[in-house]
Amino acid sequence: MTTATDSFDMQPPRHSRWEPMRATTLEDARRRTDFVRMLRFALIGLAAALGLIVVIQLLLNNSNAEPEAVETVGENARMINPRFTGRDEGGAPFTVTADTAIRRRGEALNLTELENPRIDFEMLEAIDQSADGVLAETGIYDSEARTLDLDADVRFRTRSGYLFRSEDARIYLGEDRVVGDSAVEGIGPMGRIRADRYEVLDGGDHVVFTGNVVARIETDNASATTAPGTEDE
Amino acid sequence: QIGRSGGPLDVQAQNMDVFDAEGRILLRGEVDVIQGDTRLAADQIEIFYTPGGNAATAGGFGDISRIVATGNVFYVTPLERARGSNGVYEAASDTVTLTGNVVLTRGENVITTTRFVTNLTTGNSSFDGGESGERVRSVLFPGSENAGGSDEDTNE
Repeated sequence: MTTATDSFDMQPPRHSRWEPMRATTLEDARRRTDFVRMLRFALIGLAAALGLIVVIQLLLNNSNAEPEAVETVGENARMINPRFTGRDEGGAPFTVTADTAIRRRGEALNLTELENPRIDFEMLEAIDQSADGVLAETGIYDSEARTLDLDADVRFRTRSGYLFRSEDARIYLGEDRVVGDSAVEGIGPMGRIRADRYEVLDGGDHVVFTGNVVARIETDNASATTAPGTEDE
Repeated sequence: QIGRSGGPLDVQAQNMDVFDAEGRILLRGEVDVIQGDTRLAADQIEIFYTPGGNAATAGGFGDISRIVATGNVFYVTPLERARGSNGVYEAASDTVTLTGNVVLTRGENVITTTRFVTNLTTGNSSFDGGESGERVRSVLFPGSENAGGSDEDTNE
């Protein structure tokens, strides 16, 4: 009796559609193997090349230390009627304004040059209102350090009644402090003073004059309170 | 005041600290104060004010109530020249007091003591041993112009 399997063996194997295609000849098989090996090498080579390119790119970027200059509009950035605000240590607000402000190309972004700077600051104010509250001819405002450097014909009055005239001053807006490293002339509640340097502390309650101090102290306290240098000597 | 003529104090120094709220001025470094014909010099001089001040200012500078000089104090008037370790002017009594090793010269006359007080209103001066109780020593030249002095001086 013949069973299903015997008849199956006798006939040549028929390929069903789901069985994998076998290589028909040994030659074909070798050719396929070579092709696959070549593909493998090619892919490995390609990966190595890509890696090399990435490394070279990184090296190029690092060697290029000079950052690209920040591009600003024209030579410098010029602002009309600039306004800078902030707060001092005690939380009191201050406002710095000026006719114009200039930010020079390539200069640190926190520094701004000012023309005819003015200030609204608890500790001090301009002397003669006729000059529209101008403190000096020029200044530099540093928004990070919260300082205002004043130059050329610096004039200001502290709230405690001291008038100062000097060629430079640095106002520490965060600390209610003013320092001047050039000759100063001033009038205080007790008289007139001239010195090489000065410092105004504690919001004006403590004033220090240093170097060749010459002062005229009034004793009957008819002390003059007009601006320094604006009346007859 | 440091002199009898009054008027402003012309001051020279190396440092000047003005303490507005306290009504005090601290002068340091070769301090030289001149008022009229009187001069006070010292290493350091401190000027104290009565509170208040004129209406235009908020400062605390009324009138001078006290002047304290320390270190190499010289007090020079047209008549006499005194040197001591410390000096104090008191407005209330209008007196200048020098203490420490006081040496006073008036013309050719020399007086050494430890305390010298001169009254700017009356012009009287007095010398005494102060706390140390040291005796007052003086060399007076009867013939000299200021032997008697134009003021009534008392030796205590």
